[in-house]
Amino acid sequence: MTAALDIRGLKKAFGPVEIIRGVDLEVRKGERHALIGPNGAGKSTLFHLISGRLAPTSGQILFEGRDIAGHAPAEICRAGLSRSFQITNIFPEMTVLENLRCAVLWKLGHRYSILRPVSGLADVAEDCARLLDQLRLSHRRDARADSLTYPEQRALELGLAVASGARTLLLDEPMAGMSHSETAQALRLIMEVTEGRTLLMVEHDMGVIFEMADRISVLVYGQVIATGTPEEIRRDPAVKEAYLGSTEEAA
Amino acid sequence: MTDNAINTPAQPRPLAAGLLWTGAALLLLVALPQVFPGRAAVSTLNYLGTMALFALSYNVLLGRTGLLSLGHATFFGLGGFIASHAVLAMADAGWSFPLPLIPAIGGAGAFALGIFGGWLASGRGGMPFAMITLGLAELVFAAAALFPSIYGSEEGIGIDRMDLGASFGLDYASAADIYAIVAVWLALCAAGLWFLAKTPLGLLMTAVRDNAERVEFLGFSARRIRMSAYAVAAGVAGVAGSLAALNFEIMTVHELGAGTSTLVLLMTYIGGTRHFLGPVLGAVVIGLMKLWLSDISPAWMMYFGLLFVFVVMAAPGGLAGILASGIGLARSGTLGAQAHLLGAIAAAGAIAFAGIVVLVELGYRAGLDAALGPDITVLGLGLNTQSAGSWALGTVLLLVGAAALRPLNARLADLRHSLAKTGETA
Repeated sequence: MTAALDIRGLKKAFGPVEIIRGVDLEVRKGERHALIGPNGAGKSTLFHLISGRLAPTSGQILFEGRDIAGHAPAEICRAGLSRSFQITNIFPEMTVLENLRCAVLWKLGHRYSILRPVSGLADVAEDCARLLDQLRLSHRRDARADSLTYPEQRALELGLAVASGARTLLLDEPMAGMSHSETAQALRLIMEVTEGRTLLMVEHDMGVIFEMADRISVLVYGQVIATGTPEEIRRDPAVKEAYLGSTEEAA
Repeated sequence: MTDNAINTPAQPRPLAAGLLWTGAALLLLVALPQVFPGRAAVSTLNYLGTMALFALSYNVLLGRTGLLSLGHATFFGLGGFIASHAVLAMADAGWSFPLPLIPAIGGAGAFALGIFGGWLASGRGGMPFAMITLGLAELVFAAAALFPSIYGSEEGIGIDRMDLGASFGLDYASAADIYAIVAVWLALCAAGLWFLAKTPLGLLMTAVRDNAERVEFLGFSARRIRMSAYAVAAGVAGVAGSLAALNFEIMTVHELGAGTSTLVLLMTYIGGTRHFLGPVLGAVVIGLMKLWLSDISPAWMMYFGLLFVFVVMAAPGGLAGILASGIGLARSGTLGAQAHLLGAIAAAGAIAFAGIVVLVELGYRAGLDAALGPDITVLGLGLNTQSAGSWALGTVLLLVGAAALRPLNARLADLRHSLAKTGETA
């Protein structure tokens, strides 16, 4: 079985500064993989490289066996890999329904069609209704996205990534800025909507990570220093020294 | 599925609302020449219809896709020139081609050029897009000097629209015949653009306006969407330019110059970019200002500029936005409670505006039109540019009006706040 995502010797430098210094990372099909690491370790940069926002300096990113390093974001999304953003990145002046419609158009083959009104496309309506229901946003369907509460906006952000039908999802701190109870709800939502898909997720909340992740990779200074089950990571002396030791109380 | 098929009562079915609007618009188009007969009036209607279509095409970029083009007149002008040359060539060859279909040629030509222009301009939105459209427009304008056979020289390219002969039972001698052509094309193109806005491509254009980057991460090429918007806008502008060529029977290089590009930008923005018919409203208001105000006052450009500044600063939704909020106010049932304050604000605004008019007219008479003598009648008041009293009157009116506006606006905001609160608890 090929890995969903196989990253080999990935490097990214901004001028003389190397942020990603040779990352090797394998995400297996269907697993929930958490990426942790101290601030400035390069987690978001790594996500930008995988999703096509940035082009790597060198190295390979094999998605289902195909190298996608340096490809355009749209191409990567069409290949079946989509992402959410740490800073909410939705369509603020459009309604929740319109947001989701945009996200399902490519998958359903309508693409740039000018043949029929969107509101008359039964498959779009069906898919959006299902997503609204899953995201608990049905009652906010016709509200402008920028009028949603913060957790609702985060749910919509997640919804856009999921709606595109990708088999592999990159979630960049989906629970950032949420309260304790909101985090618990968001976690349940993520587990539900990503059912049956591969998940690579950056998260800071250790409780969340040890609860949901099948495997964890630790990124420190632009390199993956350890990958393993939560139990293995907890016991790993290198991780303890580099990361957990200094932040365990905070977490 | 069922949940989506049924719309909430607050939002009427888009299709039904569209049919209603279409019906009303068609009725208006038929009624207008009956209400305003006479060659001059119908000619004015032709001009307004042409500009309304031009502004509608511009709003595909500005309002729908969020792209600021500084050179939209390029396609208005090129469409007009293509149409003119088509008429000349076919008249020369002795073909009988129905004149009402000429705008299809101008539109198709402009659309094709728009695909090429869009390919060049659409890599990014925002500032790069604006600069590239400006550059392309200047390029096309400058090329006029190199190709006098295409653009004509100073006097432009003239046509005789009767050369193609009669068709559809019309000989196209009268302005009313041209009105029929303008009205049909305006209705057709407006309906097409309205439909486009509802399609997946239209939705994606709005998405590019809102957040172009996110569109890319959903699998779409923002460039291709911008390019499509650009080509559609160019094609419809080409139709409008062709109509202008048929109406005036002459096309000059000024039609594709920066002045025309600015005019359509102002019409669209002042009318309101976020309402489908806002650009039509803007084109009619600005078009009439241009025609009538220029007869009444030498300072009409000044008022035009002041209106633009007012809209940018006080009503970014444009005239259509003001209209829509007025309708919303009437529907909400709180108009009665606010009526006295709104009346007071209107009165204070009128006083301030009268002050501006007095000062502007005095200024123009003292400067540009000094040869006409110092005595001038403004708003029925006998004024003199050399009397301190006249200048003081304008200044006092302006200051009193402006001073009254501020507290009145604050009180209106307070009142609305409290009305909204009671509305929530009710």
